[in-house]
Order: sequence, then structure tokens, then C-alpha cells
Amino acid sequence: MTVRVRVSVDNHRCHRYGLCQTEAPTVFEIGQDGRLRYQRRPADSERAPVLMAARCCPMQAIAIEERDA
Amino acid sequence: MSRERIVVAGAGLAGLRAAERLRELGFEGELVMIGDEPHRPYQRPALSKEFLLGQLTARELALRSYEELDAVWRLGARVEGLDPRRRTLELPGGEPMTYDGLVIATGVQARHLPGLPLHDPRVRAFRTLEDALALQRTLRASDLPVLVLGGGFIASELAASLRGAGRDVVLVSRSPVLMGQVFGDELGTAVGRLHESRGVQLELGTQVSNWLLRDWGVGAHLSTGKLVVAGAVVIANGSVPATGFLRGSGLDATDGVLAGPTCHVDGAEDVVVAGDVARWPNLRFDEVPRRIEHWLNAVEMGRAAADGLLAGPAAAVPYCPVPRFWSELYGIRFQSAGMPGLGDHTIPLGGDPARRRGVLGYRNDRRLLGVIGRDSPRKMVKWTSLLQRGPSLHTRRHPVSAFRDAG
Repeated sequence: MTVRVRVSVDNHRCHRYGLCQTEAPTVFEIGQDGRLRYQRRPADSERAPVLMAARCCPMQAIAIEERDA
Repeated sequence: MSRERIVVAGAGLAGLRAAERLRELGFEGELVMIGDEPHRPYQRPALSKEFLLGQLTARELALRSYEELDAVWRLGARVEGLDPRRRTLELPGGEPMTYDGLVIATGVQARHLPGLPLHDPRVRAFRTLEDALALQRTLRASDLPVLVLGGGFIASELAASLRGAGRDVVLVSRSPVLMGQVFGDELGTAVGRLHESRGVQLELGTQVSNWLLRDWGVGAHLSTGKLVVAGAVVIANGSVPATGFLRGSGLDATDGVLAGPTCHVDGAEDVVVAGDVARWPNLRFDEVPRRIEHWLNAVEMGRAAADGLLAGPAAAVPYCPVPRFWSELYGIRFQSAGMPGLGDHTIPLGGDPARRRGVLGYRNDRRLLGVIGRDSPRKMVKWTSLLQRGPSLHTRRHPVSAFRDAG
């Protein structure tokens, strides 16, 4: 059984430092407009970097949900 | 895994991330978390910002683990002693606790300078959730200005947050430049201007020579001759490693717990150290053991220390991070990557961070050592990546053992 990762970012908490992008560059990106774009359902292979992004978030704005697929 | 009990001394961020990593790596033995505060790990950096401003509650500060920790929590308990030969910690009341592996992550505590009237409830250090709650109470009891004592990040963040809450603030620091140790003169001076533009009264290059405690307020006579009258005094004057329990242990606890490149404590192979309390050589930059009091270092080093503990000193990999931190003042985001403090000159890398957005590089005659950005997250991602790919003393051709032999 695989576990699917679901990502959501609390817009009120997020101050767009972009540290998540350093940890998981294929999932998070600060755009030229300064806004954060991210994949809500990243590939399974991105689980470890996504969790690291959540750990490193200065504002602890990234919520991770893991569901059995 | 043969280890039966791993004790994590310190229930802050570094301890949490070490414990989480131990479970992630498959450690199935007993995991004991010992913390001197009565709380499970929480988001300390928010205390001087979002918590003080009432944007986050104490509950919302709780840090989560992404693994089932299944730990025994001993909170409100300060470790009092360590005997590494007998692999035994001493807990309050003389209670012994043996371990098969130990992670020291006791962090730092507020530096107490002599002469501070800390017996007065209006005067308090700022480090813990209790300190922040006490400050909120004192603020409610008086409309007089708040005196913030200190020249570092927390002092500046407190001053900015208190201004944001509409309070009059006097920032008193012995050093003539704020945050100068990390930011350097150029950006540190800019931070001072920023405070003044927001109405903070700056008293730099001075100290309090005499305190007057009165019912109506606290008076502080400065060495310049000025008198500051305040309703609350917040001490954010730096911190010292929490290593009192190592007295008599035989371990080197001079300015933090001395460790090798792999986080293993010198002189005890079953003991690793992580976070603010650790002094270790980051071979990415040089071989000088240093402490790094960055929140993100607690995350990364907590994990590295867990890796090192389970791997053992012979097989462990050196921990060579590109240290990173952030700070926010008046909604302006400052970020750093690398070791700017090791540079001997700065170079502009776009924009003008002393006045608006931009990035400043810090280097020596050989290479770029660090960058500090102001409201430039996208550029910081790129510079961080460049530093991460950059030269390190630790490469395949130069394993740690080669350094030891050469040293």
C-alpha cells in the first residue's frame, strides 16, 4: 500500500521566504510576482523533500497530510 | 538495532528533529525526551514576532513530528549531571538514567549579566514561552515605554513587534551597530536607521549604569547620562550554552559542547550533540569548531546527529551545512545563507539591501562565504543553491580522516 502526500500552505502564515523551494524545488516555487506556487499532490518520490520543506518552513505554514492510496 | 535506550537531553527543536530522525531510520528501542521547560517542542522564533503580536496562540506554536515518536516525555526536568563512562545521566533529585545512546540538545539559556534587577517582575529575560507570557502581562499593566536591552536579532525583532503593537520603545545596546556580528556594519547600520524611521529611540554604544525601581515605573540611568523611564524592561542580551550539567563529566564544554565534524562529542562515542549548544567544525568552510544559533541549524543538525549516532563515529558522514537564517523587522524579510561573518569584505549582488530589496555578498580573497538578502527570496534560493554546490573541505578526495592525519 502506498501513501500519497497532500500539501497545503496556510496563506496567512506563509511569508514567502522561499526556503521550501530550496528543499523541494520541483514542488514549491516563488514566482516573479513574489507569490508561492506549489503542487498539492506531489509525486511519491517527492515525499522526503516535501517533508523537509515542511520542517524548514520558518512560519510552519506547510501542512502535510498522508493518505493511504 | 542493538541500542535499547536513546536519551535526548533537550526537548526543543534540535531534540525533536533528532528523535524524529531516529524513528525514521528504524530505531525501535526506548526513546526518552528530557526537557526543562514544561512544554513539548514549540516554535520559539514566533515568540518575539507573531506570538507577541497576538497573531498566533500558544497552541498554534506546537511543532509537529512527521514520524510516530512513541517517546517517553520527561518535561519540567533539567538534566543535572552526566557520567559518559557509565553512560548515565543525573535527573532532578539525583535520579539516574542510563542510556545506550545520548543526544545532547540542551540549547542555550538567557545570559544573565550582573546587576540586572531581575527580582522585579517588570524586568525579565526573553527566551521562553513563559517569558513571552510574562511580558504580555507587564505590557498590559503599564502604558510607559518598553526598554529593550540588547543588540542582536531578538532585541531588534522585539523592538519592531512592540512598535507594531503601538508601544513606545527604547532600544539600548552596548554595541554601536545592531546585529553587527552577523550583518556587518553596512546592513547593521541600515537596521538602526530602519528602527529610527519607525519611531524607536535608539541608545547605542551605551549601557545601563544604574537602575531605579519605583512603583510607577523602572528608571534606567545610561552611561551617557540619559535617564530612560520604562514600564517594562526586556532583556535580550544574548545567550549562553546550557552545559551546566557537564561539570565534572570530563567533556569539553567551553562555549558549548565540543564535537567533531560528524556531531560526535569528543571523548564519548555514544554521545552526539545538535543545535545551539553544539560547537563543531563545519568542513564546508574551515576546521574551526563554532556554534551556530540558527533555527534551521537545529533542524538540520538534529537530523545529522541522529544519523551519526546510529552510524557510529567510524562510518558517520561529516555534517557540512550551508547555514541559513531569517529575520523579519517591520514586515521586511532578511535572509542569510552561508557564513557572512567569516567574510572580510562585501560585494553588491544586485539591488541595495541597505535601503530596499537586494542581496549583499560576504567574501574573503578566495571565495564567496555568505549572502544576506532583503526581501529577495527568489535570489536567495539561487545564491543558496550556488553556495551548496560550492567548494567544501569535505569532498570524496578529502575524507575527514585525512584532515585528522594532516592536523
